[in-house]
Amino acid sequence: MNQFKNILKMDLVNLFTNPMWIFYTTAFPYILALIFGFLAKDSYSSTVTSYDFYGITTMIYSALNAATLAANSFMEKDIKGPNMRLIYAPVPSFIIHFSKVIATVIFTTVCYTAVMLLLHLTVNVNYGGSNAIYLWLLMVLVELFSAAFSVMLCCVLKTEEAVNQIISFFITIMALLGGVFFPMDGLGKTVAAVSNLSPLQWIATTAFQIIYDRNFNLLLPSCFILIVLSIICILLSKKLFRTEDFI
Amino acid sequence: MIAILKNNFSRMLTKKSLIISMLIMTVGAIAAAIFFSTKTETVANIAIISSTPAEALDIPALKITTLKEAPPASQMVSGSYDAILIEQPDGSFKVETIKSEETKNAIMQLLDTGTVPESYHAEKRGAGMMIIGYLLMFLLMESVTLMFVYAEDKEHKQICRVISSPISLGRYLTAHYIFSFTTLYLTTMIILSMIKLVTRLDLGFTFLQYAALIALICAIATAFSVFINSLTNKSDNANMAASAIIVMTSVLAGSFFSFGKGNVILKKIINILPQKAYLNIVEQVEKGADLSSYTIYLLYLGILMVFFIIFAAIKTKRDYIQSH
Amino acid sequence: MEPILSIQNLEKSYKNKKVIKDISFDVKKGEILCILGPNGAGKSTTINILTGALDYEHGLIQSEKENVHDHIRTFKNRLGIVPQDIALYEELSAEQNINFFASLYGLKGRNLKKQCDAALAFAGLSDRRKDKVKTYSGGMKRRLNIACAIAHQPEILIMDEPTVGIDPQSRNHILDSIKKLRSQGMTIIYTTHYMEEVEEISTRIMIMDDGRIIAGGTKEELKEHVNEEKLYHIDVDQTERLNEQEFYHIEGIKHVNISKSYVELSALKSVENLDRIIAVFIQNQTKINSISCEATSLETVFLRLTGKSLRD
Repeated sequence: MNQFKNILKMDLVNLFTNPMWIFYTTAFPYILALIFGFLAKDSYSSTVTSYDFYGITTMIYSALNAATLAANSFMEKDIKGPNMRLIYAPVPSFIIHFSKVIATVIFTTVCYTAVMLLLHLTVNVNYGGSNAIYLWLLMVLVELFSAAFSVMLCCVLKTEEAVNQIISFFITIMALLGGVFFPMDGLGKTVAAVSNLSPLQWIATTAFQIIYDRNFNLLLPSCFILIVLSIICILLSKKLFRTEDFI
Repeated sequence: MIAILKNNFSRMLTKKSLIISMLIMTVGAIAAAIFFSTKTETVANIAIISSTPAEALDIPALKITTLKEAPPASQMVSGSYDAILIEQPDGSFKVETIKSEETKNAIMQLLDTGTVPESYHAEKRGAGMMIIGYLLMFLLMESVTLMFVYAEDKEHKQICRVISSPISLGRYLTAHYIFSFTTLYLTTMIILSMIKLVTRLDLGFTFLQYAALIALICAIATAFSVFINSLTNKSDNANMAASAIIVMTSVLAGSFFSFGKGNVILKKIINILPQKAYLNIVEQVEKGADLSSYTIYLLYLGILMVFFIIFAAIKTKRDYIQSH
Repeated sequence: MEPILSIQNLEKSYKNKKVIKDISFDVKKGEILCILGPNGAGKSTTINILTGALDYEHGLIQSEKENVHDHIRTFKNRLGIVPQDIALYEELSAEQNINFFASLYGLKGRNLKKQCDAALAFAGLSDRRKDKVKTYSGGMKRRLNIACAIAHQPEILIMDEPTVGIDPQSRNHILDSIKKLRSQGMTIIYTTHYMEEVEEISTRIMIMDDGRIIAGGTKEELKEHVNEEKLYHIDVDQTERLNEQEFYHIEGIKHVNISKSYVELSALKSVENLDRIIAVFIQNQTKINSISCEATSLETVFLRLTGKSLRD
């Protein structure tokens, strides 16, 4: 347990001391939400503003981007060497990759919580009042799944570069389909059906239902699916991570 | 220089994931653009709440759904419905919407007269404009990825070897530029041509027009990618920063969707963006306008390109030649 | 005395190709065992098997009569590894790096601090402890790489080519440090390409090639292999008129190497034939600039046993 704590601490230090990653998890989502919100301001009324829409969708998009950070914290060129030194240490190999998932979730949770608070304070984004905690929980689970999925891909592809190329591409597509840039629901049945392929769409729907309908019907299934998928990814990482491939 | 080009192509062949993601992105963007260009403009999605079946309202610009109960507010927020018309006892309808007054009035006018106010019409884009608009962001992102040859040379210090050789820095950067431009341009043009041949759809522009327009955006994209990679020694940092900038500015410039009607400050900000200048050129070409109507935008893009390339050259020289 | 590590009949394959072919050796407590061999000999693979990082198909690795891989975590606690590549967090300081890696071996609190200080002093980096590793020279990084491996005071230290690419001063510092560690009772397994290092620090040598151990023993034992020979090195103006066969006809000459400006002859120690050798040069009107006679070196031993030079 102590070893896990020490490795986790080191992973957190690596994440929190990287200015580019801090920018990517704080300034970027904040500015993105502001830009989209500002652009679409005229299309919304004062009861539900454009910031209310984009404040949610951009945060979910950012949570998915936790995948990129997880891959970097595991196999970014400068830290891959010392990370893999852990293979020789008397620690279970499971800890080596699992700690990256947890570190990424902690890092992104801290950063995105700060961004959400800032958005609420500056442009009054509605996170559902007392129900905001459920939204926050949903975000954390999205980050967990993204990080676990990315680490699993790293164990398969063995380089952060290849993983990031694939993941960035899919996240952009999911973001488009999921309505991050503009709502897809109103673009016809076919488009709405295709957009349902995007996990971002389901999460956004769940979030809007929590905030505006105080309806938690989708919350439990969403959380359940995210937890199960995360566990599957973590277990697959355990199976697929071979120390031989990294020495 | 030929040696560097050959080496770059050899290096690219080892990056299968890059090739595949490029192909998929380009095909996907074009396919999405073609799909959306065939959709008729929907001004609004309306839910009519009525206990009795309403008369069929045949207004093409409205997508009408009749419901027994009001849909939940979350569906309005997510854009499933722009407005709910609730039948009143006297037979009239009360409009509930989270959208602006302008939208509400447009819907009311549409219901009454079957037309919307002129100012409300979204710009109807042709197929060519749609395709180029959708391709724009992806081409910019792909060009940054293709500049891995330069980024990796800096990261792994091969650039030190190159600079110690008889080749000049100018020729070295030019080789990388040509590699990235050629790969991006040829891939896109081949895919466009194949889609045209296979589907026989009207893609909006002629082959020559596409050749020129795609060449222009590839040239700017490549110049930008050299610029952004010259700023940092780590390719990851360059990719992250570039992706963030490209996504934000492309959407702002109206790559997928036009925003911000009549917002003055916004328009001023958007007009600085190279993507906006480029889309203006595309729009003029689509209208069949004279070269003189978009010369100013061409000039602006040309100056920006030159600035990016010269900056990259000076920065690289400062970083690597003076210190060796 | 019971060896600290005993490896028997070890075999390993990569993609149906055997890379370790039935090797057996012991490591004695407190010795410096140098593993010599060209690239691809199987040195790093052997080491990675010992550390548990690689699996193997066949064989037994024992320490204190227990199968190491049945209790691998316990065994790893007794090991320190200096990997060939510098595996350090460059954005962190030396102190942070050592603290982290040492903590994985159970060190904490005051003990951790004490060991960290000792490791830094050992590496000669105490005054740069707070500086980021990325500001260090190559030699300093190598020393820190070692410090991270010894902070927890392992019983067995495995060093995989720890002096690659560094300046002679840093290399000498490292070699002196290794001798110091040995004097403190540490057992060291050391792989290298550099014969000079082996000559300087080894207590025992193991020569590997193509996945096999082809010779083992102390420096003196190995030299005995070819000790019946001596090596003449004769610098000349030109060698055009010289013929190998003329030298082979001289009694006691075993091996002739004629280059552009020198001739090397391996000759039996028991035969005095220098006068006949000189006579050949005189007969062929070849001016001799200098003659030297060398005792057999490990380099020669290696060459003889493997047919390759160390850097092949």
